[in-house]
Amino acid sequence: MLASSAKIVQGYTPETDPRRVLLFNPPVYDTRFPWSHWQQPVTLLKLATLLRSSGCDVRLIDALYRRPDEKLTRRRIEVLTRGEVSINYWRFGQLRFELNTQLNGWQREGWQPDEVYLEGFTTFWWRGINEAISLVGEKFPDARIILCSAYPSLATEHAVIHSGADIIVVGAIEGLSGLPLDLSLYPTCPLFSYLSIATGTGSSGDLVNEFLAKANTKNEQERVRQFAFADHDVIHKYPEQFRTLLKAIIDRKLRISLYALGNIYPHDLVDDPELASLLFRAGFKQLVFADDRDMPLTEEAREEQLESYHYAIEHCVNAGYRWRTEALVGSVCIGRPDEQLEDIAAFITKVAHVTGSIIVVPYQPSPNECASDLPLEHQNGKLFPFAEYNGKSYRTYQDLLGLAAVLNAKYRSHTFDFLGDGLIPHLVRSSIVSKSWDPRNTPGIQNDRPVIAGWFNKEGKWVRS
Amino acid sequence: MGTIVTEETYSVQAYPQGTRRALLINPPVYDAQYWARWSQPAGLLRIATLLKKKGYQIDFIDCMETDIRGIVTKARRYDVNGKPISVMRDDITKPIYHFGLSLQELEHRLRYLEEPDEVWITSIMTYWWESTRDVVALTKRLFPKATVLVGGIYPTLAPEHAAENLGADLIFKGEIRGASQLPTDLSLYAKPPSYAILATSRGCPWDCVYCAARTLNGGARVRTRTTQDILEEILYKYEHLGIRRFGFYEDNALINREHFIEVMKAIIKSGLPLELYAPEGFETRLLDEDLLRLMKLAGFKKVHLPLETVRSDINRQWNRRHASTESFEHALKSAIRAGFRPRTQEINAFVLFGLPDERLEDVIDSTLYAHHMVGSVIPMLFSPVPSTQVFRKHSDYLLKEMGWDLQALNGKFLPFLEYNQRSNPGLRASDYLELEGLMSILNEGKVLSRAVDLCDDSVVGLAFRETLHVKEIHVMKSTLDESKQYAYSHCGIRLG
Repeated sequence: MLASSAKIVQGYTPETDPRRVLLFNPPVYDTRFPWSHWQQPVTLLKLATLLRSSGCDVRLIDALYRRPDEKLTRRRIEVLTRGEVSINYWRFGQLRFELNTQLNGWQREGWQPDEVYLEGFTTFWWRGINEAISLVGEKFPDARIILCSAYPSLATEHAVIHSGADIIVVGAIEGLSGLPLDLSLYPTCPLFSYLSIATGTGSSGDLVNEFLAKANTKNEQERVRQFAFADHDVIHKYPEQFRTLLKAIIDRKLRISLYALGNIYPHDLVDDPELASLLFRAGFKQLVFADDRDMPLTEEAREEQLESYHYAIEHCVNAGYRWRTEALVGSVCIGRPDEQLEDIAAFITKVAHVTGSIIVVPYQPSPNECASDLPLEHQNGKLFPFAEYNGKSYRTYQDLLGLAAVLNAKYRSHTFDFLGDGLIPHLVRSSIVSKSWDPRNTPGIQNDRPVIAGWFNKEGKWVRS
Repeated sequence: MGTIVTEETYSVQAYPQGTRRALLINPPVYDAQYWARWSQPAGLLRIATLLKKKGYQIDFIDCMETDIRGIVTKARRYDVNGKPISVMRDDITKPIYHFGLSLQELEHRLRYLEEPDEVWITSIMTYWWESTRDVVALTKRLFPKATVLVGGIYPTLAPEHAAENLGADLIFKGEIRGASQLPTDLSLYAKPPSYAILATSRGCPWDCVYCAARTLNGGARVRTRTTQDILEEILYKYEHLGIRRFGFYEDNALINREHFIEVMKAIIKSGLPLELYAPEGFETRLLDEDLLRLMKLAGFKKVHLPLETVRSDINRQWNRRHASTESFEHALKSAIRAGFRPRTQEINAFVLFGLPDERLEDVIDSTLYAHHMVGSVIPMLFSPVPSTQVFRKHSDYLLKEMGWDLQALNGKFLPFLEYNQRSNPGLRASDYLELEGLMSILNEGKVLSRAVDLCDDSVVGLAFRETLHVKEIHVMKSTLDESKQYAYSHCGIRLG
């Protein structure tokens, strides 16, 4: 559908006159959705706070919502091929008929939104946005459809042509900084909530209050137990607010779990050795460190990163974190242009040795980094759009992901350390390096008899095949 | 002291329909770990079929029945002083759990039953005998007039031990031949299980040093069930109980290959949409492409290949002269050509470890070989089983020198740890745990359902190997403490 009438607005300020507003977090189209548990439409939930405080009648459809005991629904849309590898392409989230049923119900009760906001979390998920807008457009043709967040900001032209929205918001929506997320629109309270120490009106005092409101409410149904910070590079950007908040949590003895999902760098903990203890005491259960995408692709940078990890992990273990469990997770970015895969494979092996657990994060290029004829959905970092440029096949990247999966796999909650100093890692290295596992390479252990395939016949005699 | 009976000295009498009542029990399990998959008490369920034919009324309690998720409940075990029971081995401690129905729950259920004339209790692993003892005591207390009879693998392999320790009236040693050929009676479950265990044959001509098949089957002779009988059992279970998944539990199903082929063809002809498995594996020398194609057509979803070890000299020591890496690779290639996908768990390889006199480097070579060849490694921790050659050879060490009873000979408790430490003082129990961990994590590296191969010559494989190589050079250059040097040299590590 062409939406040539779409209006591009830089820095959109929402209208706050009392009105009916639908917030719609669309389904996701992707090959994998590994962090679906942590997917929450932060912008929409802040908007809910803003609009409801102005007297708007706000409703939410989060196509990714499911009850705590439910699995996220997925349906295979197509099979992509990269060389010899077939990759399933899925639609994740509530099915179209379920979304339709919800909208029909509101329509029947006479509830029609004046405005619909959609959050386009990332560019290559645009098909879900298109689906959601067409669905809403059919039901509520008079509603004004406003598309915000990363997709319209980074692929504005694409959004104008393909999304079907009336207003394409480029950049952040005004007035949302420092606002808490309104989770009360969900049928049941989500297990976790994002917190944001954004610049502007929010102060650490507000944050503590937001925390208390969510974590300390007497209503068990509305009590949130898990929190993650939405801010990138949170310690560097908001050093005082972050520490104040952690100290407040410790002082108030709040029984909550905090998660760092890629916004704490190992050097943050090197620069401030006390920080690890603060994080641990405040209730940070898992530290997934930020990956190295901002660092140059040089051996020196990697050595420096390893050293940072070394000291950061040491501080964390001293603070009480259990090494080689999922509590401490190193991250390495893969799929960057000009990377040498051999170096990356070696690097993730070394990072896993130091941190214990590891994840690899596919590099997500911005639309202007990729060839202009590459469809937006194929610019998905999980498809490694720079594989060909780097002279490597998708299969090679699949091997790299496999290596990371082995390095990150847990047995009795612990990873195996291939570079460890114990007897077993030593024997494993010895076998792999010398290839002694291969009977063809090791004189004396190979079988010296040719294979005799056959069986016993009914008379009990051996018959060769 | 119970009386040991056998097929020759005891026979199941026939009674007018409904005049004799038997209670059949599969006891709970005391162990550190328990895998509920394919763990139906098939022998007891065949006895049920036999007893019904003889006119008995049957009550049946399977303490190990799984819930809808396939999970058996577990609770920590406590001693008489209320202290949690653990097994401490060198530098590791394993907590012991009571898996399955608690004795209190069992008692509660038993109290609702009419007093039986006979109680038949199955006892499977020799190292699980203690829970059988406790169930015998319970039934003796509740049903003092009933005859309590224990049969199964444990009483067959260790009849004197069972007679002395269980408190049962009768200890049945060996097979009840009248039941061996019968189908399992799954109608005894309130909710039919999602799978059934099948046997097409019994017996194996080989005599591997660690295997008890000869004792269990009363010799090396292989006996088969008729194809019609097998198919009727499948058909009944499919049509009446809705069961599609069948697991073949055989000593060596392919020894009478033509019979197995006939069974496969009959299943194909039936057109039933079955899922077939043989979790104990097939002798690799007897597998070829034609047979594997038939198996695939019949509904086999997975193939399990008993590699056990990569070393031919160890195979010879274990009296596995019929096994070799060549036949393993031949079977593997045949399976791939027949349509089973490697590196996806459709093809799996067993690796055996925890044996006396083993070298860890051989176990690791075997593990990495299996990882490279098929992608899915199934660790098999060795338990010395009474009646086997290994057990006989080491019984003085295990029972006298170490002073252990059968429950301590559980492979999970590393019964040969101290023995192997004599030739390798640096060896620790935690090394075995780490070895298990290695086998487990190698299976985890699946991306798009394909397990990575860390030993191949791909870009990633080579880079990984090079990283390990650099570390090895570093290790060699650094000063190793004396104990490690000793340990490494005794494990045959190539430091130079």
